[in-house]
This record gives sequence, C-alpha cells and structure tokens, in this order.
Amino acid sequence: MVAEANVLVIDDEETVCRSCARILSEKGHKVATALNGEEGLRQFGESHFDLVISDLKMPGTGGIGVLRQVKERSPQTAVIVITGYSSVGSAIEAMKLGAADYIEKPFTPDELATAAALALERRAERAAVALERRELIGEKTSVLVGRAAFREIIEGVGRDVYVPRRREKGLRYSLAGQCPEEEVLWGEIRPVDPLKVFFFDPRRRVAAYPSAWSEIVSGGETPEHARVIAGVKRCDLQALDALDRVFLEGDFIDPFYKAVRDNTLIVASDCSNPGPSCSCVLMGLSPFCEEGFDLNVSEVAEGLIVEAGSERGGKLVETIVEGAQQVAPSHLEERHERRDQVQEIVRTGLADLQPEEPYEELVKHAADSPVWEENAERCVGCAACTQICPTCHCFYLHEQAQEKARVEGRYEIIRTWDSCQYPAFARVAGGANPRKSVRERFLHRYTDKFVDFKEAYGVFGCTGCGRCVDVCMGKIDMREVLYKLGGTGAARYCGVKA
Amino acid sequence: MTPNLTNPYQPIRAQVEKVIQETPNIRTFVLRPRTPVVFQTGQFIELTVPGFGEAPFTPSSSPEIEEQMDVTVMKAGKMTAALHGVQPGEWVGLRGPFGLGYPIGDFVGKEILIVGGGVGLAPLRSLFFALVHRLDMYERIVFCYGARTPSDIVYGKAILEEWPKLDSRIVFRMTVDKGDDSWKGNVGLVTTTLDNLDVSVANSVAVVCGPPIMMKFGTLKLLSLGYQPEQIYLSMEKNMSCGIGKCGHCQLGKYYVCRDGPVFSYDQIKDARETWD
Repeated sequence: MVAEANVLVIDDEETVCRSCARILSEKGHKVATALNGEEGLRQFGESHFDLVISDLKMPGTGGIGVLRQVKERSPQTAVIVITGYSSVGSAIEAMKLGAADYIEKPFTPDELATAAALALERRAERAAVALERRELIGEKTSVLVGRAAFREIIEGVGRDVYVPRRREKGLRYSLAGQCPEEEVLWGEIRPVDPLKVFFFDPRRRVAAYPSAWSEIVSGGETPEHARVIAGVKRCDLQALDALDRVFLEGDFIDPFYKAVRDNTLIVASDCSNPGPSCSCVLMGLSPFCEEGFDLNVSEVAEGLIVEAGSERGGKLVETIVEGAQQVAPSHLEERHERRDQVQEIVRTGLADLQPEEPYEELVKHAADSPVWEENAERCVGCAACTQICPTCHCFYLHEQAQEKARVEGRYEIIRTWDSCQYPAFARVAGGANPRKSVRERFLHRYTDKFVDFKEAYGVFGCTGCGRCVDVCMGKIDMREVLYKLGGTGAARYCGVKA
Repeated sequence: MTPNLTNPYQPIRAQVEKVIQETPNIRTFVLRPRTPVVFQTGQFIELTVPGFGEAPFTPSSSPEIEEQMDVTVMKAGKMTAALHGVQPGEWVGLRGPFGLGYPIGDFVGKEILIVGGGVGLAPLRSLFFALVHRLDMYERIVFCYGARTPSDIVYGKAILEEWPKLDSRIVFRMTVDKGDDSWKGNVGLVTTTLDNLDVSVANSVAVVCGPPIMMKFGTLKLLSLGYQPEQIYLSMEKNMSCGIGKCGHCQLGKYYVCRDGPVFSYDQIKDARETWD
C-alpha cells in the first residue's frame, strides 16, 4: 500500500483530467491538473510531484517533451504516459526515456489506479535505494557559480591543479597557476593528451632492488598532495573507468596507479564543440558525463553549473557559498538543450559511418576480411595510435643501463609504455611470434578493443575519442575500417551493389 | 583471493645455491629465496638477473619444498644467456608466484597422461613430484617424453633410471628424434609414444608441455585418441612481462596467460586465434 502522493495529470481533454483526478483522489492522493504541457511544466516547477501522468499527444509541448523535462529536473519522479490507440511506437520511446508505464485510451478506473499504484511503489523502492546511496556518497548537489569563482575553489584543493587551456593545436591540460583566465575553456572538446598520462606515466621506476618497496614510497615518488584534473570529457572519463578495471581490479592492484587515483579529484565538463574525429555516440556514450566524476561542470549563459558526483565533490560544493546561486529549472533546461545540440552534432557527423551491426559482432566475424589487409598496408607501425589512446595500457618492464647499475650495486625495474603494434611485442624467447605481420598486429588492435577487452573487463577498449584518427600517419580512420567491415558497408566497399 | 596490496613489481633476493648442467644448453638453478615462496605446481615466477631484466619460468621443483626452488632454463636469448653465467653464491631477483597452476585436485582417481618435449619437462617435473607426493590419490601416471637427441634429455639419470622405479603405477615412454650409438630406446617424435597407449581415456587427463609445434601435434593426437578438449591441459608459453595481467604482452584472446593461465584446458583456448603461434 502506497501512502498519499502528489500527482500531476496533464491532458488536453478536460474530461480526462477530471476523471483521473477523481479516481486518484479516491485512492487518497493529492491531484493537480493541467490542460497542456507548458502549464503542466510550470506547475511542476513550482511544487513537488511524486507522479506525473501525461497524455502523449498534445498541442505544443507533447508528452515526450514533458517526460524529458520532468526526468531532467527530478529523475525520481515517476511518469506514466497516456497513449491513443495503436501508438505503441511512441509508448516504447517513452519507456526508453524513463517512463514508468503507459496506459492506452480508453482506460478503466481500475487500470489507472493499478498503474499509478505500481509506479508509486516502484518509485518508493528506488527512493529507498537512492537514499541509501546518498548516505554513502553524500547528497548529489549542484550550484551555479561564476568561472573565476569556480577556478578559485579548485585551485584551493591542492598543489597540482590542471585546467583545460586553449593552445595552438587544441586544448591542453595546463597548470592553473600558469593559465590566464581567458584561456581556460570549459566546453570545447577533449584535450589533446589522453587522461592516462596523469595516472600511468609513460616511464617510471616501479621497483628497486636489493632495496625494498617501502623505500620507494618514502622516496617521495607518490604524490601525496591532492591533484585536480579539470576539463575531463566523457570519452576520457570512460577510458579512466577502463583503466581502473585493469589496474585496480583482480588479485594484484597497481600501487602506483592507485596512489595517484586516490589523490586526484576529477572535474568533468560537457563537450560543446566536438571534432571531426569524434565518435562517442557510436560507442554508446554521450558528449557529457553523468557519473564517475567528483565534480561536473556545464557551461550555461549565466555561469557554470557545478554538480557533485562523489562524496569528495559533494563536500567541495558545500563549501561554495560566495557568489553561488541555486540551480534553477531554467538553467537545467538550458543545459539540457545544449547537451542535446552537441549530441546531435556528433550524430550528424557520423551519419555515413553508422555500422549496421554492433562493432563487437562485426569484428568477431570478420577475421578474414580483406579490409584488414588493405588498411594494414597503410600502417607504418609507428604505434602513435596506441600511445595516444586513452585506454591502451600495455607496458614493458626492463632494467636501467647495466653498467651504472653494476657499479652502484643498485638495480631498478622501469615500466615503459609498450605497444602491440611493435613487431616484437608478443614474441617469445624461442622465437615464436603470433603476430609477425602488420596485418596480424593491426587486426589484434581491433579484436582487443572491440571484443577481447570487453570480454575480459566488461567495457569496450575504445571510447570514440578519435585521437588515433587524428594522429595516424597512414590516415587510417578506425570508424571507417569498422564501417567497411559490415553489411552494406562491406558491399559498398567491395563494389557490390547492395 | 584477497588483493595483494604490496608492490607486485618488487622482486625479492634469491641466493643461487647450486647450478646443474642438464644438457649442453639447459641448466637447473637451485635457489634459496630470502623468504620461502609457496607455489602451486604449474604456477610461474619472474626471475631477474641483476642488470639484465626479467623472464618468466615455471619452477621445476616440488611445491612441497618451500625454502628451496629449482628453475630449469634453456639458453635462448639475452636474459637466459646472462642467467647461465650466474655462479653459485651469487643472487638473482624473484617475483611471484603468478597465475593458475595444474588443477591437481581434479586429477584425483584418474590416470594421468603426461606428454613432454625438450625443456618442457621442467614444469612437468614439478607436477610429477606433486603427484608422486600423494601417489595413492591417483590411479596411474603414464609419462611420455621426447627429446631431440639422447644428450638433450633433461634430468637424464632421474627420468631414465630413478623415476620409472618409484612405483609400479608409474610408466615411462621415452623417445628421441635422432638416436646415437648409446641409445637403445625408441626413435621418433614424441607423438609416437602415444601410439598403442593402454590408458582408459574416459577416466584420464592429459597434460602437455613442450615447444609450440609439439604442443599442437600432441594435442591433435590426443584428440584423435578420444580425449575431450576439457581433458587436455596445456602450459602456454607467452611473453609474460608483468605477471599480473596488466601489461598486455601475453594476451591470448580474452585471456591473459599470466593471470588466467599459464595452464589452460584445451577447451578454454581451442577457439583463440593465436593458440598455436
């Protein structure tokens, strides 16, 4: 039995509004009604509702628009949509957007009451879970602040604060202390450097012997002061999740990665200007972040919406008092529109590269495709693609110069980035090498990214950041290679009429 | 298993107590690690020659002995050449153990067919010792081994004379690719020792270790004898660098050989593209 709830009914037919109000009032709920989407959203902005029941087809803002905005402003609010007969298509769309249920017109009082009761019950369950989660990670808070004020706040966090800065060839992470305010860009695109450089050094000492591990730590090699990396885009945040799975999961945790990860505050930000090589949406990602960050920054006309995504971030947001405003529904609406626009830009740019089958399936079943050979011919084996890839994590352990070590009687094990694109990467001492040819190495990179990494770690090894496309000397475009592998793509590629 | 929070890249010192010349290019190093290293048979360690770097080896000694560890190494590259230069009394670095060894718990009550070639006998010696330690738990051991020539037979005296006499339930079938005047035994590839086997395949497991080509044809032969892919265990040789599933060198499809192996059932890897390369 669900206790009394606040319900908003939106329908352009007055009789529907009235009957719904009567049925639900009898069940003990407090019901408000609106005759169009605009009026409904106005009411929604003014008071709290647990459940919104909205007709899908209305003049002006329709049910889908209402649903989107309600979910954006208050994800916990349950939404039931009312559909006309045989418009199941839009009902399914609504369910995908987060609607709790749909009911078809005409409906009986019982059908409405049951749907409402179920939706409210599920909402209550979710709220309980969310409450528990909030207690764990702290209330998810957001504020609106000015750019300068926000910069001051993050600069107060630690010694190494990196902000996204405009440079000649794109954005670079730059120490905040050296960066004039007008050069800090919160939107734009992911920086040139992959985020991994901060957590997984291109070259570092990981052991020294005969001396022990504790000496390495006390040698000050692990940054103990907090570090802030700001301006992290969705593709790179997703890549960080992939690296976390490699370095922090399993029987062995990489202590160097963990130390830096624990000491780093991640400030994500929305993309505003995706580049020609971007393909996050093809990897199932959006050009903005919803989780996995400490703070997220969204640019709106009046300033920055700063949203907390972790306990650390939440505490920081709470300290923002001066110059901070409450985030109003209009700000969220603006953010929503901007995000939608950017997503649309990425999607439009990729219209010709949309694969007909999921990448995983394409790669899995195309080991013998001529596409590999033909693209591998353009590969010069420079490994720039793996070096700049935000998820590539391969490395090699080796020793420092032998003579010096022998004289000093002190040896060091060095970890250096390696690449599966180098000929000797998989070679064993006996001489066997499963990837002797460029084709085999080229194919390996794709099978790892789209099949094997996913099977081993649960996420793709590619996040669509597009850096490998930007740096390839052979002008190989991963998206194109994948497109050519499948369906009409392959047919077109082979000169066959589809 | 709880995560190991210490530095997995840090080696400990191990004193070289003895060096045994097994064949012209294979030596066994008897090591005494600074702290005892407990391993399961079939797991591997990373051995460091100071100044030369690391390479992975599976101990060839019994897992029952913790203070000492034998590592049998063929001279194949720079690191192993340097290792062959190490004298008794000197020290090397050691990390591990890593990976998953032979699931000998699953071998209980079965006839165990061991198929080895060349220096692949090293991990199999460790397995053999582990099995012999509780011989009562297994039905029988049939040990097939092949070397290129009689002088390439590793642990010659032991495998030719001592081990076959240990128990009536232990049978050895030896061969060399090319005999000499002193050789009175079989001549032929190791797969020929699998002809006319008197094992009951249904209640048997097979363990194969050797050079890639021998592993491939050994496995194919076992399949033709009726062994199911899940009854065949292979020790995969890959270029393991980190040993902890992170560096990517030993990737075999969705597996990292250092983490998910080095021992695999053939069933696990039969569809991987790079199994035999």
